[in-house]
Amino acid sequence: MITLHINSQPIKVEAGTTILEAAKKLHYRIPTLCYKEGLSIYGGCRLCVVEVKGRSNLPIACAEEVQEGMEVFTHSDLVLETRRNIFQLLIANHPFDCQLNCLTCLKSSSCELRKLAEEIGVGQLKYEALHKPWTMDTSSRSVVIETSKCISCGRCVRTCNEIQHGGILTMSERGLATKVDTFMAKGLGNVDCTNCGQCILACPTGAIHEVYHVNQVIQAINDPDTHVVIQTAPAVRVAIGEEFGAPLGMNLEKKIVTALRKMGADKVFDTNFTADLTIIEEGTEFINRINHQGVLPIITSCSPGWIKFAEHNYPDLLPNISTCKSPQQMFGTLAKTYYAEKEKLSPDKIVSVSIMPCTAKKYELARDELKDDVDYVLTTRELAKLIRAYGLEFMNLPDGEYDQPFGISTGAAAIFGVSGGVMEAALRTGYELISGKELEELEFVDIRGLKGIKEAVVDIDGEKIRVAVANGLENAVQMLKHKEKYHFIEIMTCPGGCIGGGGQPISDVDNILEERMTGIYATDQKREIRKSHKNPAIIKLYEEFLGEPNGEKAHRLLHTHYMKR
Amino acid sequence: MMKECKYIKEIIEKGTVEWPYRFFHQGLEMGRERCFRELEKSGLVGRGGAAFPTSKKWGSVWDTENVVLICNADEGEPGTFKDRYIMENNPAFLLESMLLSAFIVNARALYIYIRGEYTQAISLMKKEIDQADVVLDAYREKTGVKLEVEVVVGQGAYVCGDETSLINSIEGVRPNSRIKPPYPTQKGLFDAPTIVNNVETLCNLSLIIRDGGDFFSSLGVEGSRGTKLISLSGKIKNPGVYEIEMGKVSLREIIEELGGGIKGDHELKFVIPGGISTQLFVENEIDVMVDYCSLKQAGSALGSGAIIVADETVNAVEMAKNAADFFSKETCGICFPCKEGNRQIHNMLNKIYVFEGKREYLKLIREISETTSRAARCGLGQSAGNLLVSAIEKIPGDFTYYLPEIDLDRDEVKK
Ligand code: SF4
Ligand code: SF4
Ligand code: SF4
Ligand code: SF4
Ligand code: FES
Repeated sequence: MITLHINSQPIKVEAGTTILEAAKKLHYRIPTLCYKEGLSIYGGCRLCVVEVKGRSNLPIACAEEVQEGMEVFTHSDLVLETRRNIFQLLIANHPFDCQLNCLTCLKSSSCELRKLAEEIGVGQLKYEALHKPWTMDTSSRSVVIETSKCISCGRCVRTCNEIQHGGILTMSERGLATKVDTFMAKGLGNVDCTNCGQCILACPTGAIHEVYHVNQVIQAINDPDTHVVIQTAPAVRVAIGEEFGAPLGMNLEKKIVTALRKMGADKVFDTNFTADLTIIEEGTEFINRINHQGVLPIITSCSPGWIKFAEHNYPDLLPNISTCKSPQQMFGTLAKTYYAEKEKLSPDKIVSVSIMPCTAKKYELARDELKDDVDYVLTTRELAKLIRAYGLEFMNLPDGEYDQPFGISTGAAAIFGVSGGVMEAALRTGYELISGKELEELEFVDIRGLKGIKEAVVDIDGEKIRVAVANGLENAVQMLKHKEKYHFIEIMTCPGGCIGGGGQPISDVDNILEERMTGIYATDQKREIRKSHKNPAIIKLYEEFLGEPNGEKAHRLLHTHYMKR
Repeated sequence: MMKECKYIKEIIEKGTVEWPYRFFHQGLEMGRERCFRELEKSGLVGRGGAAFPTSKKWGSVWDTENVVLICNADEGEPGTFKDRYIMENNPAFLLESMLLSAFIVNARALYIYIRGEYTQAISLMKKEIDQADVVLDAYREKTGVKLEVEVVVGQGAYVCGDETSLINSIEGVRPNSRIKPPYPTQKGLFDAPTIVNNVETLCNLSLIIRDGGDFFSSLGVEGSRGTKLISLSGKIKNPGVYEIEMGKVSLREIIEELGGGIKGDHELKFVIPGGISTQLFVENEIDVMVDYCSLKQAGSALGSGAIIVADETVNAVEMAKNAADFFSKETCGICFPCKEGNRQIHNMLNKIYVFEGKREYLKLIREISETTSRAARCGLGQSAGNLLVSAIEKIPGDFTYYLPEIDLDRDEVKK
């Protein structure tokens, strides 16, 4: 243990602790910007400088480890003045301009620079504003980079490299021109980016954001000639409340339904319905592969970021990946076939919108082999924008119910939103279909939680089925090194699964993923039916329309293929 | 008339008299312990600019395996050309000194990182290394290590003068500084413990082995032992590389006697004693002795020994502007105070230069420079403002010329 003084208060901490961590223990917050928990240390912004007695320059608290007898001052005059000046310098290169970009910025409600300005005590620009020229990378279908807003803190670069195994972003150029860019400045749309949007969540300034579809959706809703059907994904409902001050993790699906209806959506459906459908199709595929010596392990296919990642990096694994479309795409197909037939609507009058926690879904809808099933994707953040744009008092809205026929879903579908959920839902169904027995214990606790890699062995009729679950692509890469060990693998691109998706609200709450996860499992707990194959609407859908699970029609409509990229 | 001291330079210019690689073989015979003891006695400090005791640096990896030694020949600073002089005039002497040093630190790999523009030096060093089989065999016989000597051609970034940036550059990643700790001696090139030393520093090793540490430390003064190569340039009659015994010669003597005084009919206006990261001196300040401590006490630094002399035709604003251009290009762009500070300073000086400056600029420049010197991550940023601020303070007239409406009050600038 090491004893030191911080602001004249003694504290004992383990060797290897940084000044930042030690100060936190004493409840001092040292302002940070380039530092982000879970990422490597960058040491660029220098806002976390502190004074250490006996040292002439100011070390940075995020990197400097404590030493015996150290005397640290986190808020001395010298420190405050230096911090203010650094902040002044940084803010002079960040554009606030007549395009009112601040007001419409992705970060307008969660701006870290604003918070820092307050903490550090900066009210007025001291140095002349010297903006970079206004350039944008709009080559991607999912993610936009507004270089002019970038302060080059490197958080996106480190997130992409360290969490997502991406290496897509880099600091390019040097000197004053240093900026974030893609390899050879090819543009995000032309490199191996998975569109996961984790870089968006990491960015403190709104320099990276999704490709917005809000305006197109408003247009479609306002167009009397179109029939707008909207689906809402499992993870959206437990996060949207963060934008409106609701208790964390609260399931607000009923308010979402009302809000969308009040905006003028023709039908509001639940992606959970097609999540149940995915389980039937994927479960059947799995059983068939087991019974007919098919390619194993089978790997889930609902996460479009993972799919693109695999197409770039694991072409050999493509046959392992389930051919099932994702729930979003299954929904899109059914809306323009089954639903259109049923309602006697022409499919090209239908505008299919999905509300997703995910930026990669915006890319998915435009894939050649899936084209036209889904027209627009809004992220959870865009949904909040839309709700505000329509002037709705979200938290005061009365509850509403999803429309039929895609409104009934099970607890198994609800947990699709969290890492391990798809696997658990599949096991609930697979167990009963294979063994013919009823599953007593529905909770597969080994594959729950936020750990990056989870494993379980499930005994089904004497057969030991080994499953693994990974979230975050770096974890997926690590897990796939031992893929032969398993029969069934779930991979979610984003840390925590879709609750941590790149389209979710940006939160500064430390345990936000846990809160959302708790909300998801509570939803499952409350559902009367908790196994996908028991969903009466699904049973009816097969009877009326699809025929057999994995049958000819189901295959034509609900399955897809992948390509090496 | 003062005579140039020729301690290192003699070897550089004339070569080793008796037989090639003599100091290296002498070192092998002495063994690394005894060599190291001589180094400790010598009091040698790094000649690249930081003036860190060489024995301390080497001592920290003494018992470590897999040490990498890098000779830093990335002489990127304007006005410095002494390393080039060594490489072009006696590459064998440098290689010999590098091998000797590698032997003492027990290195497994030896690199020399040469500035890309130095094409002649690069080819000479390469040629020398290609012909060094016999010496390398002797090295292997003694140590059991088959030492590879590799020439790395620099990518032209000044910040590579910073050890960690240079290491990044050899690794093939973006050449920016790394956070310290870990220091390169703990975790450097490809995570191996790494020693980086300047060309001139390593060359001194040969002399220490030849004459003994005690003799070496009898040269120079406390804190600045031995001699120093000086790159003398600017408005001077005889620019070039000179060698001085540290602490025994004043800046004025160097300029007037070695450099032959100011060129043409002009008056000396100011002198930059250690390259463009150091504070300048005006005419009445140059009686200062040239060694690390004296220059520091006088408010500047010896740096790598680039003395740049300016006469009254040189405009301090233009000079400051050029320095700011240089730093704006050369900041690695990682840490905010350096990148953004240089952006602002660059902007302000360029405006001043076209008569669009404002009264408060001079104060802001000083403030930025102070912030950056306290908070930047590496030496480049920490010292980038030194020259500009000293120019504003000591040659205010040049600035007021461009800021005509200002009645410049020195106290205000100093605030
Ligand atoms: S979207 Fe994901 S893969 Fe693409 S750059 Fe951002 S973090 Fe990397
Ligand atoms: S895009 Fe955002 S996260 Fe990335 S370096 Fe710029 S400011 Fe930082
Ligand atoms: S990130 Fe920048 S543009 Fe966005 S809200 Fe904050 S200050 Fe405004
Ligand atoms: S001081 Fe300048 S050169 Fe050094 S790390 Fe910071 S930005 Fe890079
Ligand atoms: S938070 Fe420590 S340097 Fe940025």
